Amino acid sequence: MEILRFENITKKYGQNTVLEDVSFSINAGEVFSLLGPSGCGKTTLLRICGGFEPCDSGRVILDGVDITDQPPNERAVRTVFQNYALFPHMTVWDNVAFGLKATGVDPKTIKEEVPKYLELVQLSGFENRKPAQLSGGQRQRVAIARALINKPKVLLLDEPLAALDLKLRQRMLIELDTLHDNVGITFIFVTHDQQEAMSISDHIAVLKSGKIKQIGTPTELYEAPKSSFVAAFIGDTNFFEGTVTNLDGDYCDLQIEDFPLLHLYNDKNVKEGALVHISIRPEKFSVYATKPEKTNPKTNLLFGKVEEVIYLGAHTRYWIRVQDWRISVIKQHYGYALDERSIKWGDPVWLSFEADNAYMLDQYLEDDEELLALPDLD
Amino acid sequence: MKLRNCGNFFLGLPAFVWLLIFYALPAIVVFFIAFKPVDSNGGIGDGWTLRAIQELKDPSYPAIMWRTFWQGIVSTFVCIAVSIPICYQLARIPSVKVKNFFLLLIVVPFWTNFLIRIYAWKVFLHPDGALKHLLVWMGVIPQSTMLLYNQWAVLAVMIYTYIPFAVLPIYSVSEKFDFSLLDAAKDLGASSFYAFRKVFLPGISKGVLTAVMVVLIPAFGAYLIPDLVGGKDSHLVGDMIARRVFVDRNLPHASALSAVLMIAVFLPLVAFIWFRKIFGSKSSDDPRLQLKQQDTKQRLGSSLLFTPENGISQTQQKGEEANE
Repeated sequence: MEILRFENITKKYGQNTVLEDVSFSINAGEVFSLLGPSGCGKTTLLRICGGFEPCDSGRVILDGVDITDQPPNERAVRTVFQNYALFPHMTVWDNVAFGLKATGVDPKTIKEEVPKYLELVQLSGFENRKPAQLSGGQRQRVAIARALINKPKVLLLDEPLAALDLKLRQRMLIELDTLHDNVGITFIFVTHDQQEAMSISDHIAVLKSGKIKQIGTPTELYEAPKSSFVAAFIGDTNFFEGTVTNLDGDYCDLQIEDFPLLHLYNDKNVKEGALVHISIRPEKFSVYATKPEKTNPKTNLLFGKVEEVIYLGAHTRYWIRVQDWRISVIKQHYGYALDERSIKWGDPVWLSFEADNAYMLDQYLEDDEELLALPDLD
Repeated sequence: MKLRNCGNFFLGLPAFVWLLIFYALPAIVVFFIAFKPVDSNGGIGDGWTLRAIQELKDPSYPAIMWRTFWQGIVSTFVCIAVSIPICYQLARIPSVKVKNFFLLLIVVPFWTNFLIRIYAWKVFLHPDGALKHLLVWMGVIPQSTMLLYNQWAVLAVMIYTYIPFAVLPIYSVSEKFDFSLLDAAKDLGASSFYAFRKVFLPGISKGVLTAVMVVLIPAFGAYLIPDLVGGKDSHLVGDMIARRVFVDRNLPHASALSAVLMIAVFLPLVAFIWFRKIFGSKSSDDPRLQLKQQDTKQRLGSSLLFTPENGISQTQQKGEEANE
């Protein structure tokens, strides 16, 4: 059931188009993330949703009601700002009660509701503290309680974990997830951290330069990225370019320069002779020190040399040079690693991957390769 | 005392000594002159007398005291009421150049000679001046009304003079104010006015308090303004004192009036300091100096017995409690 819909939202700042014809909808009760690099327009979209910025054209529809022209205090949308924006001269109690006082709720109800929400965010007993006396995580929880107490239909969170250190970030992520389950309100996150978005979202909208590149579940975005941008922005991957030959039902062959002929799953029904780009995730490769038996005709085999090894305990990352290509591979250690013959720098290795595990991209831009430039070390 | 406090002490010493010699001492001397008799030549006689104090019972004085008091309060109120919206808008201007331009407009007259500005008002409010003609033509006032030489002229010029004093401290806190707090307030359902009242005004309260001090105290002592644009029935304590000194040459009497004024000004100052100590100091963002509001009674007690060591160690204790 749809709770929020954006229709053709466009926003320009002078010559700069920050959002271009953005349209999508969000279902009630889900956790939705707006994900993208800085400057992609996600925060602007959030502000338009909250009513702090007008859009140049387009409509925002909340639960069937057009709220595009409504001021922020009339919308059933609440925002948790990136810097929390707690009122410094008020105590925690007054901060949390603010929304109720401002909308004229009677004092008796306020007295009952505030402790409930403080307990929800595990801050009972902190009523009389001032924001300056709280830690970052505590301040965030006050901001959340303050926003939820009005029982909004949608809660917007602007980079909620950006200001927290790593350990706290991981903890808060779980807490936010639990909170969402307890409260049942639609949450919309804005973040540039793809791991955050992936871990708790039901759906993610990936934005780049004011346009939506793809919307889907985390799994859809990871396994079936439509563009090289999405493939490279979320997780790590390998890009290849080749020409399609030998159509054979659901499968086809791909001729990549210098490579043996590869077998691919042709779900996009590409014609023979077409130039395609494919993305293969690092964990889809298997690494062998000796040439493996080719049991399945749909398995592809490549031969190369190890250029880089990073051992990370549960898995190892390799960078393997095959002809002109440098392939990033992850090998999970299922067995006792000390018993296995370890693959070292400079070793010749064989790589195999299944035809089903390569994904054809709809759009490829060479610039997106830069997103892969830094190895993702965790 | 810790070493750091000793360093601060010596740094502040020259200023302190200067103030002692050129401010405190003369004030004390003036206070004592009130108890001396008048000399036939207009100086100070020998011996001591309570004559000057008794002369304070002059029937015209209560009216003058009252006028000084209410004009001071009204000027302060109007100055601040006018300054707050000005500073609110000014602080929100995104362009620094435009902001500074308007700030300059407010501050530049401040740099011109005070006396000349008052004379400018005399010309402006003159019975034969443009404003008078305009108002009569519009039918707002009859021809016979005098815009000048009455208490309203004094009030108007006082407000005009003290607005920059009020604008500067209020502007400086408005500049530092985080306007995203107003966004947050509106997001939570507050109307713009409610947000202004409950978030902006408390946020700039320290600046407003400073502005009150900086306008009220000089306003109580205003003398040139009532002297030049005021009439027979618009004397304030300030120009009464001037009159006694320059015209009547009755120094003890003038001193007695001064003493009364000093006490009248001193009391709100003491109240201000006491008030600040109870409800948190200027650096209340520092959690170590923050005190819980529930401990007001205890703090009331400690503030009455305030000594530097006592005060600091107690607040540190409270700060540690608050942090746990």
